[in-house]
Amino acid sequence: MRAFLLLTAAAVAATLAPSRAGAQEVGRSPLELVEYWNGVYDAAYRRYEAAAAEFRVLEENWNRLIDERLQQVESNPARAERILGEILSLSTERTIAQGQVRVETEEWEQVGDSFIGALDNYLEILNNTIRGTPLGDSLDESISLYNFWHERLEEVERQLAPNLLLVLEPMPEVVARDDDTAEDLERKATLLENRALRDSAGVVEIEEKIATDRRRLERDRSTADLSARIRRFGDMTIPVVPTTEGGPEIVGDTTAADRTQTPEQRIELMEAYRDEMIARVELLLERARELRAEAARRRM
Amino acid sequence: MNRNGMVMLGVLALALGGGTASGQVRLENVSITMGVGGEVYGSDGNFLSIAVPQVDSTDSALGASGEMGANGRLIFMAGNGRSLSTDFDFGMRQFWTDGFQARNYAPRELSGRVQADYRQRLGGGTLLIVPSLDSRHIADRPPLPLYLAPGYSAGAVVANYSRALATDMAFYGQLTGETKDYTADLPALDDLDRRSAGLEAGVQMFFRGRPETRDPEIRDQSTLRFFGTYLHHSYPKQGEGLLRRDNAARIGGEFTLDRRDTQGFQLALRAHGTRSRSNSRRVDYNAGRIEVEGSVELGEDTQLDLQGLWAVKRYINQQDFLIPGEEADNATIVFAQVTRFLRDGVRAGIGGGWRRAETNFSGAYYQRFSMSFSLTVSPRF
Repeated sequence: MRAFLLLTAAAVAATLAPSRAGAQEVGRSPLELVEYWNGVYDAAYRRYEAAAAEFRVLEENWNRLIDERLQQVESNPARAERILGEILSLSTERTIAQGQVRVETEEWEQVGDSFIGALDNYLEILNNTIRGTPLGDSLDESISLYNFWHERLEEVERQLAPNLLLVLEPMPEVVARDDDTAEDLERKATLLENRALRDSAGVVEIEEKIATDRRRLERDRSTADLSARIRRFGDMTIPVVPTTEGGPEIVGDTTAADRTQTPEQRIELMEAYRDEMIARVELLLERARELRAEAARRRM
Repeated sequence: MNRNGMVMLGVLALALGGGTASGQVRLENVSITMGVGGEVYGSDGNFLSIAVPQVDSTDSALGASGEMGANGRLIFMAGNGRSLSTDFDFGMRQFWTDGFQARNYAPRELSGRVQADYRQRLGGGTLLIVPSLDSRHIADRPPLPLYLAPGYSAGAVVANYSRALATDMAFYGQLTGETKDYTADLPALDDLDRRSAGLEAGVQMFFRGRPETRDPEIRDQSTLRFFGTYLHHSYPKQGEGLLRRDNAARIGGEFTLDRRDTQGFQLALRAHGTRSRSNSRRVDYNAGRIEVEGSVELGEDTQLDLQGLWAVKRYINQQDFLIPGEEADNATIVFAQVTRFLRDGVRAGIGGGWRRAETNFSGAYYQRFSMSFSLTVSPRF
């Protein structure tokens, strides 16, 4: 309940906070706006990172306690009971931290969108300036500015992009309490089964994405393989004109994101995420079965 | 094994060894291909090249071939604005021929190529260094009408720097150095040895597709590139006292259209013209080349790939025989392959090719038709 109230308060505070964009955009040049949002973005990103780090620590402890309790529940029920107390105590703190991560993530992403918007606008202006500027110091300065902010844009897009994918939602905190009735336990079991159902849909979705990416990779390889076979035995090389060929692919797609992952790596990450999700579904169903068994025991 | 071959193996061994030790190296894009094919060769019987060891009076012959090849990429590092990878490619092709007058030949080709790729963000742009080693060996090389290129060892280094001028435009500058030594199993082949240097500058423009496909993950874009190149070739074994040196200027362009994720096809068109002048006036020429590459999805599990080349050359002065190192004056080459995706990482292909090369001064030509079936496996590591 306390956690719920805190979360509600945080949400209300975020909603009622004055719009930074509306307040700050009046009377500023495009460059000043970019610099302003740069600072705001950095601050929001730091807050998000701090909240995420705090939550990660609590999550690790919470998972450790859950596992420890499961190990002790048969052999040392008293110890298991004490661990349960620690889990319950940590649960509130964890829920608050989780809520804080959500709030900071939302804030960070909103600020990120505004920052990207300001950057896009400024880069467009710079682009037009560059096109209309004759050679000289002024042009060099514009190009340096352009390159600097364009790199920043790529960095921000990279920071924001990974959050769209491959982060499992935390395990729901549903345990059997001593004062739960059989009906309460049945409801909790249904809750876990619904969550498992939802995660199963996620597994199907990620499977489709993996299949699409694999198909894309296969097609690209097919084209590359034909080129490799032709080149391997010099079948396309008739030295009609002496050539110095085999040059590299030209780099310079300035609008493309800087991808440090290869297609195969992306697929591997998605497969690992899918496996994790499947394990999560199995765990949820297992816990739901335990709750139903406990409910049946309490009915007797 | 020649020196370059040893170096290539050394580079690969080091790369694989490093991977084991550090655990940081990724092996990717590995494809192992096996293929068999049938071929028909033809000529007008008058095609003479100093680079071909024997002469046979037949105008047509038949052949069959079997081949194996493997290629892949080792990624040593990627991230923080830097990346280093090495592509490798090795292959063997064995021919059986029939229809030659003197005897039937059984040429065997062995090839290997190792190419590193280091790129780093630098001064707001990207610096790219690409050293490569390339080696080819051929045993029992046949006479025409089956033309198979002679063996050689080659080393090259390309340094490229590109930088954005605007969101949709980049310029690049490129330096290239190459040395190519032909296997001296025929004295005349020494004449082909070459040292080359090149300087290229160009501009590339990018065009995104429709607004709804602006997602960088969706490939819906086209590029347009224009470039100018200066090339210097020297032939240390050609000429007595005064060695042959060619200087060439080249201009060209490239257009690519990538609609793989929206309409299931991609296309690349390249064209360039070359004006080459030499200290030997006999080999002054103007030349042009057009290349096309494309792929089209044919349903869920099938794809058609096409590659073609058309090259033409006109000498400034009268020619009576082919210039050493240039096996023809004009050429047309077309390859097509239909690939069926059998299962994850397994592909079967049926393809065909046609190559025709001819001289300007006599109209002599040779040509080659081929059909092949191949099976490719891409294991995951």
